Amino acid sequence: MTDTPQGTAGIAEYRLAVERHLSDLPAGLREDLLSGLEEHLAEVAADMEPGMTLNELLGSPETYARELREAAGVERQPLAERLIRGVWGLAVSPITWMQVAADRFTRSAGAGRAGQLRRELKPGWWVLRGIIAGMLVAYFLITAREGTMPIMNNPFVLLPTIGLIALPLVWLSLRLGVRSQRWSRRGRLLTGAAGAALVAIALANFPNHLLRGPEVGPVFYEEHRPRAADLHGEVRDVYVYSENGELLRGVYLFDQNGNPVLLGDPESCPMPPDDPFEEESGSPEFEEQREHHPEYGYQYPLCLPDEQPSEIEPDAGPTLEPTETPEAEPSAEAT
Amino acid sequence: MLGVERSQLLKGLLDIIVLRVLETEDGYGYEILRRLRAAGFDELGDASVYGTLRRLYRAGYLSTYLQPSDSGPHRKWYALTEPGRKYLAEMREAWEDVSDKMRRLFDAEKGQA
Repeated sequence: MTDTPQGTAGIAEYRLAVERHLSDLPAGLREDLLSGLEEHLAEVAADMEPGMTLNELLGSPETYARELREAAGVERQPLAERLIRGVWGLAVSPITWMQVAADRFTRSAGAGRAGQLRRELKPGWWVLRGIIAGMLVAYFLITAREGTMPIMNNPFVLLPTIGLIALPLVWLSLRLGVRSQRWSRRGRLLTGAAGAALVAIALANFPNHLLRGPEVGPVFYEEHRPRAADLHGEVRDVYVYSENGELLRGVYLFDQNGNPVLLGDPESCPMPPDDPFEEESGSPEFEEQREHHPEYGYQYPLCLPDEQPSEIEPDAGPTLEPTETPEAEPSAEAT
Repeated sequence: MLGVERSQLLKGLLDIIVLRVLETEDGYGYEILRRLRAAGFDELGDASVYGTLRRLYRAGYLSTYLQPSDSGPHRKWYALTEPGRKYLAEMREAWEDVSDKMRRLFDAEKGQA
């Protein structure tokens, strides 16, 4: 296929100009008049002398549109309707410009006209819409029972579950898509708006949860602890002792749902020793203080006291007596 | 010549004109227009012919096929179908009937004058 003297862009612009002069007609009738016109214009352009334009050969797009209208036996629309469409036409110019730009873009990629590409991609959108709906349903079901279905944290269980939920919704979406092609413009617009809302809901939820995997959120118990009942001061650290009274180090705490329990603030630990060389040499004790696994939460105790008794008398603690600072007396009283 | 009236008259005859041009030989869009202009229908525009071709095709009076072209894209050729030939015959009969009556009417007026 050789290029025509007028060029495909010129043909598309002529066609769009004709379309503009038929803008008073209902969309269905207008599309009917224009279907296949571009191919016809390409044939005409191929027969033109070099340097000639479609305007010179066929007359202005306005004249062409009037002839098309007459040949189809379509009268001009009543004045009131034309006025309404005229107001709408004010907004159509930028839309027409965007259509031309979109056409050029898709044609340059060898994908034909943008409108044609959009029609071809519709079934793909219907499938995607069903999958998104399925993912949303799965998401709300799982988050509503968050923590009670730990098996859902396994992607080999989660993904087939989403697939099972999505399958009937994809079928429904395809069915809806096919049927909506026969609906009125208003019906199709409503369907499109519903699809856009679905995508908006998905975008508002998925990035924070499903795409990042099941949320293992920290539980800040201190935020929920009523201050009025805070008889013993703020909990700044946790000391866990074995039954022998031995202080356990590197301990993780989890609640009944498997969420890490975060108590205290690791940043509040005393700064490294004054001697910078001691830090550089990597005091094992200090390194241990700063080591926290993001999924497991804090390691307790957060701040290791300077001296910890390796053993304490079992009778001595832990007791309910609070201490002002955990490092002051790292005895069993500190629990 | 009363251009508007003639144009209105031709509008009613577009079907029979286009079908007649295609009766003996298939043709494609712009080439059909050339044949019509060669036959003296200078006022007919491409849009009128194109619109008529589409309408006749929809009605089943024309069929189409694509032919490669040396100078551009494939061309859509139009050919008369059997219903198209039958429709043309009916239209021609009607036209000749009306035409005869019109001629007699005008001749009678001349005779009275």
